[in-house]
Amino acid sequence: MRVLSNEKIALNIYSLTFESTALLLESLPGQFVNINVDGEDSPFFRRPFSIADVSQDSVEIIYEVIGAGTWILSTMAAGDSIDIIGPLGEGYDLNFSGSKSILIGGGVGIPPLMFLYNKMKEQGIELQFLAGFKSVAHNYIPRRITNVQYSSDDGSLGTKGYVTDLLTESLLNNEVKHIYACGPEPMLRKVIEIADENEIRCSVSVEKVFGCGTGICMGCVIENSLKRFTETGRKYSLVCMEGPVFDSGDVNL
Amino acid sequence: MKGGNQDRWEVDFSIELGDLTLKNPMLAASGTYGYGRELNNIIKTDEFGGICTKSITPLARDGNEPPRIAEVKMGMLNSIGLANVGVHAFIQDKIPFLQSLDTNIIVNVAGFTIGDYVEVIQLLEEIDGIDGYEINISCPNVKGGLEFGSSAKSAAKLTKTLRSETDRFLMIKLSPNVTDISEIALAVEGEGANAVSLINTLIGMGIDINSEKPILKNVYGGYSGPAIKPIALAMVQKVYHSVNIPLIGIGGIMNAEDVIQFMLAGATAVQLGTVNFLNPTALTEILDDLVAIAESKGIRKISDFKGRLKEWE
Repeated sequence: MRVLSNEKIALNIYSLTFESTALLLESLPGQFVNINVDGEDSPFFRRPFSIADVSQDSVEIIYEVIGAGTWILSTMAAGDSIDIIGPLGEGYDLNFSGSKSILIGGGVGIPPLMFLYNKMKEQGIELQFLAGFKSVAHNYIPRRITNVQYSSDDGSLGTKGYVTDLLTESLLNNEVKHIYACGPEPMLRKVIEIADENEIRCSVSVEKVFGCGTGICMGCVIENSLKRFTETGRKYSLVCMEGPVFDSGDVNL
Repeated sequence: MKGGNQDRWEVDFSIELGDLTLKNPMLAASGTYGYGRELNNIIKTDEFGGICTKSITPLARDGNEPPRIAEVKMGMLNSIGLANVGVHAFIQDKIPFLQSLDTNIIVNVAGFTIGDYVEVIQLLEEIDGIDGYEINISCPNVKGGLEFGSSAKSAAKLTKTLRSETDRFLMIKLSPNVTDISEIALAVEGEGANAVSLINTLIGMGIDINSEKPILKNVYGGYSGPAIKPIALAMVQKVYHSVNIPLIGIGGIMNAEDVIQFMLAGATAVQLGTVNFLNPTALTEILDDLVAIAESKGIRKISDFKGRLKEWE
């Protein structure tokens, strides 16, 4: 695949677009691509990235530079060749049935929700978008995504505090049928706790180390809930293939 | 092999492995290719000379607790713990697809008692389309699973028992975590093994200095990837001089040069393992590159590389 653009869009955060196959252009929100950044030495495994958007002929990912792999990725330029497999995994349930929804994300967990937002807008679904960042410098959400309620750790953007506080507040005033979440694990645990208290369906996108991303190494397991264990007889689910999006009632995060 | 360009150097990739003929010397290594179907939309599984399935045990296994996979320098650690669907579901759900493939199907069998291995093989003996068995005597991940591969005596006893259960191709997968791998190879050859595959993963460990914990929940895992290739080459070369049965080389193969190195050291065929995680289409690239290497050396038959390692004068 050929890189079309790779631009810094916030503090340490980049947007990379690449020319895509017909298969990749059919990607759905919550699905991911797996990128081989260095071939066979270090970093060794491919690196998974949620798909942030699909346009007519390209796919976008958004990533934060946090280690050797993402640093190498940040040095790529338009025209470079990039080794990408995808789309992989099971994304969010797109059977919206007109329900009122909240999208809640933290940091670089937000890109799949941006993609989901686009799909929901196309279908005229009523939604609220809650986004949490460390600071205003980390915010990369484009202006076309409107009515976002922000929180930040330092109060430089939106409300000071956790994005989950915005969720609690929002549920006091609104009847919500479905929460879609992606972000760090402590945030997801809190979202699930709030969803459970309010008896709202909750879909979470989970991140684990993937050995392959294609379901063959069987390394990236997450523990099934008692409910799912009873249904399937299996103690674990494969995050890369059966996820990364799960109904919160199916897994123990 | 793949036709197309008329000027292309023609190479005969076929090799003989006991009574089996493989269309090329590359097999998918057990545990790195699932049940043959998972990657079939990325690469046609029957491009391989053979498939070694995930290890099959009598009952379904969930495997070890996570984290059970980790990245390390030039490779990875895994302690999957023989997660598999169990022999009954394997026969019902996985075998039909495998039977439809135009490649050799080698079922990898694992167990914790000799009875486990016997039970799996007896059930599979009733099924058509299986070309042979690879016996996992060396999976270092599950407590108690180490014994068969760690001594010549126990490896021989297991091989003898399984030989009496099947006339199919029987390959023993050797552990590198032993004092003398040649001794084990000789012992299983003496009890009728048709081939040995080597090496399985090396026991390894990683430590996270932030949490001050092992990076795997199981503490130890199997180390695989390019880092272990020199060890694997040395073991293949040693065993080649000890036994007469064919060797299948395994250990960190990433490209065509690696395949040739294993063949020069004495391997009749090789298995691609960890590379399938990084580069699922590696086989296609390796086949192309092997043609170029064969042409540069004027070789028309891939098996001519076997054991050609020259000595220093």
